[in-house]
Amino acid sequence: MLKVSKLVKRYGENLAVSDISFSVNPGEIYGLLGPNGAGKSTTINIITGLIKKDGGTVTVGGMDLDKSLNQVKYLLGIVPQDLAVYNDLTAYQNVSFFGGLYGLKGAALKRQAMDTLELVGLEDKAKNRVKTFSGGMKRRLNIACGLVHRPKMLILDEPTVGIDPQSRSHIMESILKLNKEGMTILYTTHYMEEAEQLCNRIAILDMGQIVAQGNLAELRGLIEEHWFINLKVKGTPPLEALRTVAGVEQIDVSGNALRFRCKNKRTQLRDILDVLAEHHTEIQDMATQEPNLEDVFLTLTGKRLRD
Amino acid sequence: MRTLRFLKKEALHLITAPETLLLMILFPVAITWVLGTALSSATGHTFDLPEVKMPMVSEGGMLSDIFIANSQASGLTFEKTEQAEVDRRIAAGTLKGYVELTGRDLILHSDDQGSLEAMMVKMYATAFTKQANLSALAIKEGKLGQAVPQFKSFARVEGIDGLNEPNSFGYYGVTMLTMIIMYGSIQAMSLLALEKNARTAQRLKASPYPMNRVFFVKAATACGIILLQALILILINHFVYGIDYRHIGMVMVMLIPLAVFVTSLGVAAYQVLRKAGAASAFLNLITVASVFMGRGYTPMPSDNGLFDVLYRISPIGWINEGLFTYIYQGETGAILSAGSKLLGLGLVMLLIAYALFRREEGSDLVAAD
Repeated sequence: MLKVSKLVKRYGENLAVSDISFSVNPGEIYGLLGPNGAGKSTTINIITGLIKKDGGTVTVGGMDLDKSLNQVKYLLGIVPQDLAVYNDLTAYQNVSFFGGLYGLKGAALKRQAMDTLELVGLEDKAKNRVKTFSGGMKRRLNIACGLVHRPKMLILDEPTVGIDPQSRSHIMESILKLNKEGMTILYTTHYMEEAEQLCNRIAILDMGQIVAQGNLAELRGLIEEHWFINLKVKGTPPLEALRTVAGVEQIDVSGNALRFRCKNKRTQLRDILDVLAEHHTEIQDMATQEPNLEDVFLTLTGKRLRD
Repeated sequence: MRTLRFLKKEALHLITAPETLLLMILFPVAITWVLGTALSSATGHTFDLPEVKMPMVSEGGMLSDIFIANSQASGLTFEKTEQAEVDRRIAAGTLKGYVELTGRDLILHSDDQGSLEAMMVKMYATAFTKQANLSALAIKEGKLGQAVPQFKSFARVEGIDGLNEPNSFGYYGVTMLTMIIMYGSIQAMSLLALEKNARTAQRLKASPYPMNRVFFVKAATACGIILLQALILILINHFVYGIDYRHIGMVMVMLIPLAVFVTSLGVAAYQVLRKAGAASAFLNLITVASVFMGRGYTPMPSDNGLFDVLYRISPIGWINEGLFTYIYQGETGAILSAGSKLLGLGLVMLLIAYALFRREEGSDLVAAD
């Protein structure tokens, strides 16, 4: 559905996107995961024709973006990161206006507009002005405006930023529902949990480059020799002694919670417990964990997703 | 169809804004009344006389009937009343004056002989008696046909140059109208700024709807709404205040160049300054200056060189002059000149604004915003 090849974008001396290549298959949810400034929005803006690229190619539905920009626009639906709705109009007026831009009209427009509002759970608020909406409701309307013309591919740029958990949950359910109905989705986020829950495949971006891509299992496999131990202790933990345990690569401390990144052997747990017992440190909670995307990002880049 | 839908959306933004109703319609209606009433002497050519109603006591007959009938053209109303009724009202303190017409006497009985009412009645009565005496002399000498020339039944009021002039309401009925149209530049600017403020510029650019059409749809909507507001104002002024615009349809056509000019000014200001707040402040300043220079707030002395120069370079001065000349003298030369100047300037500003808009569209500014 979408093929991006060696994409480059410069802003003066700054290389915002550097040689990015990825493809999105029809019917899948593809995630672009990375911290702020990684190049996710720039990539999206190039694909949707908002900004010009400095190199590379983009094809959507088999059409080259440079040669068939207008036809490509009909295939795409965009949900921008910033709320892009008219506060002084009603929900229905917003959705029907944007649907009309894509050529919908008459009874078909009306029906599709109401169906879209129902899909995002705003059918009861169709005649209400958007300025009376909560933040979560505006986010849902933001999605509806990008969906109304039933694009082949929906591009969502961090659609859940700054909203309550209930609205986030509703949005994610809507996305999964759309995907079940066959819509291809390109989803950018800096929330690891969203990417893990929604995406079939993920590209991890940092500083304008893709550092890894694949499905969840493939990405975890990049650091499969790693595993994690989470401990909660009482009192001051003996960090110096713990750092000497063989195979412990890193210890993250947050209050009385310790997270050990361990490599290879699986004997670290026993060794860590021995050290804690020697120092008479009481353990309140304990769990082991396979690597998640946050760990993958940290291992590959040395930074956290939300630094 | 898409363009019609876009036009409708743009119109909704303006019409549903509270300031459209308050500032663009109610405010000028109120200010026209305030200025028209309070500054009625400022126009210097006519002023509104009080309505005079006065009882008249007479022995009856043709003379009193003619006296009463002829008085109405002068704005005076005399009501035949019995002497007893007059005496009763004087005793009750509810009557300040009355006229008495006997066989050979016409007497004005008044408590306040220096008042405007008393002077008006005295002037009319004096003219009446002189005319009656002339007619009597002509009859006596058997030369009635030669003695009294056949004048019209009323005296016409004109300006000193022999041309019709507006009264205070007529004056402000035009100047407040053009002032409000000038404020429409801020409406035009706000329509263009809307997409940036609402962050919807990205959606528009990502859609297949051409961005150049977005620009012209917004400009056309602003222009249309400005003219609609003008029409509403004209109708209110005409039907509520009785202001005469000679031919409302023609006046509306004459206002089109001004609407184009202010729309272009608004969109150009935004495209150049790139900030709605800065553009709004600039347009407010330009409007106040143009209206002042164009004698919109009050008539200026015409023998003052500086004010004359300012008047001649103010777009509001051009259109006001043109409208006054058309409405009160039926001449279209000044309005055609004003229209062509406004249209020319407006198109230049529109092209500049469009060029800046297209340059922005081709850049990364929309996404960066």
